[in-house]
Amino acid sequence: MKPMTDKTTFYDTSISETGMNCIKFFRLTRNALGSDSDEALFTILIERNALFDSVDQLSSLLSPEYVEKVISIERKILTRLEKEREKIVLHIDSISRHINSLKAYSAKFPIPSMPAFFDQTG
Amino acid sequence: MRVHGDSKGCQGTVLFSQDRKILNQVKTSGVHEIISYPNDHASQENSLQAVNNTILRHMQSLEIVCKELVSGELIQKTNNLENIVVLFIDKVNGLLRIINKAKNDHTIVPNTDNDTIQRSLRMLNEIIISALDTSDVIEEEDLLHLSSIGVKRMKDGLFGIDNEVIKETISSNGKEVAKTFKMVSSALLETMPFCIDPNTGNLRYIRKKLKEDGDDSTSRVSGALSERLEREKIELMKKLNITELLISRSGQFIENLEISSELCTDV
Repeated sequence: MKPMTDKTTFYDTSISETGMNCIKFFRLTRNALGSDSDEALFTILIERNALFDSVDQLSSLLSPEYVEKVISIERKILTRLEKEREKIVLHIDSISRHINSLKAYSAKFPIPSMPAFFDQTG
Repeated sequence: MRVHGDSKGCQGTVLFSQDRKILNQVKTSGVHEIISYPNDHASQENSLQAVNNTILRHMQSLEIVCKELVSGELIQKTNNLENIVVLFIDKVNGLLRIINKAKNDHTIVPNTDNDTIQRSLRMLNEIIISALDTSDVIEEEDLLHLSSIGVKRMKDGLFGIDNEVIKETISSNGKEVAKTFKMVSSALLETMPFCIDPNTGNLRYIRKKLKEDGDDSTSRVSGALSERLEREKIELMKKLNITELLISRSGQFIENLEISSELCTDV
């Protein structure tokens, strides 16, 4: 009989490595939820994105209660991402308006015809 | 009739806040120093400031009128052309009125050579009248004399309009009328952009200064600003793509977990 090793292969990755990835995944999830800045959120989530496969592989081994908890946490991440997406879309829209306004603007004689451009307060 | 000059291109400008300061740097070039006076002169009624401001305002309107005249659609629309002509004459009369008023004001600006100012005012008057005189170019350019269109100089020095004549002329020779006023307004715009320098009383040709200093600076700053905004937009588009990718993956993960959870419950 073949002796049992401490590393049992699970697909092409060892269970211990998958487990470590899962731990890292949940740590990053927690960090993402706790991050204040958008930049930090994206950096963490991009790093976390590479670990989804490991969690998917082990999800069948998790208890239903734990899965529910993970789902609940992931929904929070999803909600935050949706909000970020909304903010980005609004920002893009605003920039597009600025670009269009700039294209429409030209200094006309004798007075530039768009006084709204000029901030009288300096 | 209203000429929507200022509304054109204004959409979205109120959204500018941070970029205003950049545009402030180029906002008026030479114009600003001419229309803004030292505080001790600011309260003077009938001052040179009022003259210059009125000239600038009317010239801006004339530029809009000129553009309307250049518009191809205008020729086909008789009412529009008539309104434009009336507006044009009204603006010219506005210029003449303020010049006449200033000519009678001998204390137009304290501590400035009044004779020089009066000479400048007379020159302004002559520039306007000669710009509206088409007699030299009528035959060469296939233009109409203003009097044949119904526009005549009155005893008070202003221009009067015979509405019946102008309607008839436009209906029979609309293209020629449009061409004539296009030439006249262009000539006026080319020669008229003067202000009276409050310090010397001499005329100043600010259009050239604005073109040399202002337009170049404006286009440079606008170009740089536009480039920066485009770069920012590209970055945001990338960020949006990443966000959507993350959302998609997160949603898929939740879905997988739900399936997994259901399977566990079934077992």
